[in-house]
Amino acid sequence: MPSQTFESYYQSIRQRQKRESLLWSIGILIVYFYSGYLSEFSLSVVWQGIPHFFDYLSDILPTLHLPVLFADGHTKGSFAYWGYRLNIQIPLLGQTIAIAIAATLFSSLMATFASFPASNNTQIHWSLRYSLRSIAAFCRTMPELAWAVMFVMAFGVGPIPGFFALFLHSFGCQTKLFYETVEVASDKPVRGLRALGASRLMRMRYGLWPQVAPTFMSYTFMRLETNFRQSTILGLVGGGGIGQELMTSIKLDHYDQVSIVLIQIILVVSLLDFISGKLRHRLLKEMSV
Amino acid sequence: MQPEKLLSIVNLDKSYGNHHPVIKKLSMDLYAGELVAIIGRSGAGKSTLLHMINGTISTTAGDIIAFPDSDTPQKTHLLKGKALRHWRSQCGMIFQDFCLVPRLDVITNVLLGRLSDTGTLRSLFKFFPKKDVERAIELLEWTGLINHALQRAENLSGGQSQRVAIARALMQTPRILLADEPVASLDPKNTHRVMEALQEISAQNIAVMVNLHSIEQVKQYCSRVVGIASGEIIYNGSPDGLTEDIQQRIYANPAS
Amino acid sequence: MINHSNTISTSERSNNERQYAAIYASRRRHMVITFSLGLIILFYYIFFFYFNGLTPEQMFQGLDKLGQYFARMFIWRNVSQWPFGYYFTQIAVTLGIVFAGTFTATLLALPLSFLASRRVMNTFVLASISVVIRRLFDIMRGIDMAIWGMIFIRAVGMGPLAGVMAIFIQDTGLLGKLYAESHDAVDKRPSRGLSALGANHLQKHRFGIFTQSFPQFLALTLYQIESNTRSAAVLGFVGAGGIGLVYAENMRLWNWDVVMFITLVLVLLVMLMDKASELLRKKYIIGEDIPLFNQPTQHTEK
Repeated sequence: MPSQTFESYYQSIRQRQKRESLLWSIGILIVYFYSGYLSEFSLSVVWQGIPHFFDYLSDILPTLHLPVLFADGHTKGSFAYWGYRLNIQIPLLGQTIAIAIAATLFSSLMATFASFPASNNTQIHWSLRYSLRSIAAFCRTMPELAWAVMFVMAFGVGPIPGFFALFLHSFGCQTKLFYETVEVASDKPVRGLRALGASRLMRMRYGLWPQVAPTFMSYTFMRLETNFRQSTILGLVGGGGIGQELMTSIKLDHYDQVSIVLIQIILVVSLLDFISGKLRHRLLKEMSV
Repeated sequence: MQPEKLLSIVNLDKSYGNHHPVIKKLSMDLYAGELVAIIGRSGAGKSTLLHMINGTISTTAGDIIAFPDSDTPQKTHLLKGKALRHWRSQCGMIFQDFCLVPRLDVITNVLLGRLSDTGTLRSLFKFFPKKDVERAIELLEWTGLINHALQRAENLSGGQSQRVAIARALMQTPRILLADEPVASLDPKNTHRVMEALQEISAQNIAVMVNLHSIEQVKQYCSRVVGIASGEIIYNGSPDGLTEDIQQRIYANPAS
Repeated sequence: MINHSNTISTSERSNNERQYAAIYASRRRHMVITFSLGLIILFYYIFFFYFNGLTPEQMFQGLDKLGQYFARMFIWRNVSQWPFGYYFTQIAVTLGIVFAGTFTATLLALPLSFLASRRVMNTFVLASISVVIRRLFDIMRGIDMAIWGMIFIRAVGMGPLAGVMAIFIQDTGLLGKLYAESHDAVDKRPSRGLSALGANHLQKHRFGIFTQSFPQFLALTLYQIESNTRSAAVLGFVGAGGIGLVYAENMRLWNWDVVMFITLVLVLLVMLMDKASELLRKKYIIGEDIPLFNQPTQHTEK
C-alpha cells in the first residue's frame, strides 16, 4: 500500500533535483564572480581591450600586394619579403619538434617503468609506490617554465635544458595517466601467469603490459602534440627552439614575423594532430606487444 | 608396478580469518597417471584446495608434500620466491575463465608456459628459443588449433580458449595438472574435447586433478573421484562406487 | 608425449606446413621490428645529443649546480620571514584566473561546440560552417597559453586579466573540440525517437544529444580546471599574473626553498581539487539513486 500518491512522489524527487541544481548554480556563480574579482576580470576592461586585441590581430597580418606577391625578398608586399627570416625560423621550428619528440619518447619510456610500481595492483611495497607517486606529482606540478629556468641556469642556454625541462614535466603527467590505466587493467591474465610460476616482472610484462600498451601509446601521441605546444615557449627563458624568435618578434613589434611564426606553429600542431589520429587508430588495431 | 606418488596432502586445514573453516583435516594422495575428479557443492572448498596446492592461497595448518617418495620431498606450502615459482612451473593450472592474455596471439600465450625457464632478457622481448616454439607448434597441432596460432586470444571461443590454456599448461612440462572447473562454461561438444585432452594427458604419466560439477563426466572420464562436503572428504575411490547415498551426502545441505 | 596420427591427409599436411612458415615468419618479423625500433630510437637520441649536446665540462658544471639547487630546495631558511600573505594571494589569484578563464570558456565553447559538431550540422551549408569553426578551434588551442598571454598583454596590459583571456581563448579551442567530439560520439537512437515525437531541432539537440554528452561535458570541464591550475603558473612568467611571478622572482634570487614550498602547496591544492572533482563526478556522472516509487521507507525521511 503506497503511503503517497505518484504525484507527490514525483514532486518530491523533482523538488530535490531542482533545489540541488539551484544550489549548484548559485555556488558556481559565487565562485565565478569571486574569481573574476581576484583576477581583475572586469567587463569594462575587456570591452576596452577587445578593440586593442583586434587591432593587434590586424597589425600582425602581413602586408601583401597582389601584383608583387611572388617578387624577391626586397620588395615590400611579397611572400618572400614576409618570410625573409624563414631560413632562420624553419631550423628553429625543427629544433622545437626535435625537442618535443625527444622529451615525449623519453618521458613515456620512463613513465612506463615508473607506472607499474606506482599502481596499486602490482603488489609493490607501498613506500616505493607512494614515493614514485609523489615524485611524479612534484614533477608535473612544477611548471615547465620553472624547470626550464632551472636547467638553463645550470647548463646554459640551448635545447638540452629545454629537453630536460619538458622531459621532467611530461614524465610527471604521463606517470599519473599511466598508473591510472594500469590500475583498471583486468586481473585475469595476471592470475593465470601467477599460477604458472611467472615472476613479478613477467606478470607485469605479460599480464598487464599487453592490456595497457595501446592506451599508453595513445597517451604518448597526445602528449607529443602537447609537448610541441609547450616547447614553443621554452625559448622564452632560453630553452631553445622557436620560442625565442617568437618572443623577440612580439616584444620588438616585428608584427609580420609574429604572424608567420604563429602560422608555422599552428600548421605543425594540426599536422601532428592529423598524423597522430591516423597512427593511433592503426596501432590500436594492429599493434602486437 | 606401483605408480609414483606425486603429492601427498596431510591433515590440511584452511580458514579465512575467524570464519567457518573451509577445509578440515583433509588428507589425500595423488599418483602419476591418475585423472582425479574433485566433486562437491559450490563453496565446499574444491577451488581453495587446488589453489593451495598451486600455492596461490596460503594454508592454515597441515602439510602439502610434493614428491614424497623421491629423494627431495618438498613441503610446498612453505615455499617462497623462486622455489615457489619453480614448484608452480611443475604443477600446471587451468581456470574456468581461462586466464589467457587477450591481446597476445595464441602461440605466444602457449609460449608463456615456459616463462619460468626463460631468461629475463629473452622473455622481456618475447624472444623465445626455437625449441620452445617448435614444442608450442606441436602442442597447438595436438589441440587442433594450429590454424589459429597467429590469432589474438581474445578472438577465440570458450572451448578454443580452454584448449589454448591446456596447451600453455603442458608447455610447462608439469608433473601435476590442476584444473579448476575447466568445463563449467563450455558446451557439451567442447566439454568432451577438453575432458578427452585431460584424459590423454593423464595417460602420459601426469597426475591430473580436476574440479567437476557433473557426475556423468566423472563416471565417463575419471579414474578416481574425491567427494568433499564442508571441507571434509566424504568419498575417495573409484567412480563406480559413487552410490546414490554417497552422492546425497556429498551434495547435502551443510546446515542440516 | 604427443602422438601424431598417421592418418593426416596430404592437403592437411601442406596446410600445416604453410602455417609453420607463417608462425616462424611472424616471430622473425617481431624480432626485426623490435631491433629496428630500438636502433631508430637510439640513433635519434645519439643525433639529438650530438647536435645539441653540451661539452663534458658544461655537463659537469651543470650537474654540480643542479645538485646545489636541489640541496637548497630541501633546506628551508628564514621561514618565519617569508611573505606568506603575498604567496597565498598570488596562489588565490592563479585560482581566480583559472576559474574565471575556464568558466567563461565553457560558456562560449558549449554553444560553439554544437556548431562544430558533425552530428548537428548535417546539411551542406551548416557542415561548411562547422568546418570553419573547427579550424578556428585548432588555431585557438594550437598556440600555447603563455603565447596568448603575451599577445593579450599587448591588448589589456600586464596583469591577471591577460591570463584570464589567455586561458579563455585556449580553452575555448580545446573544450570546444572535445565537446564537439563527445556530441558526435553519443548514441543516435534517442534523437531519432525524439524527432518521431515531433520535437523541433533545438529540443532534439537539448534532449537527444546534450543529455547524453553531459557527463562527458562535466568530466572534461572538471579535468580542464584541474589541468589549468597546473599550467596557469606559466602565465606569471610572461607577466600575465599569478603564481608564476613568484616562481620567476624567487628563482632569480636563488630562493629554491621558496620554489619548493610553492610547488608543494600547489601539489596539495591540485590533490584537493582532484578529490573534489571525483566527488562531483560520482554524483553527476555515475548518478545518484533515485528512490523507486512505492518504496516509501526510502524517501519519506528525506
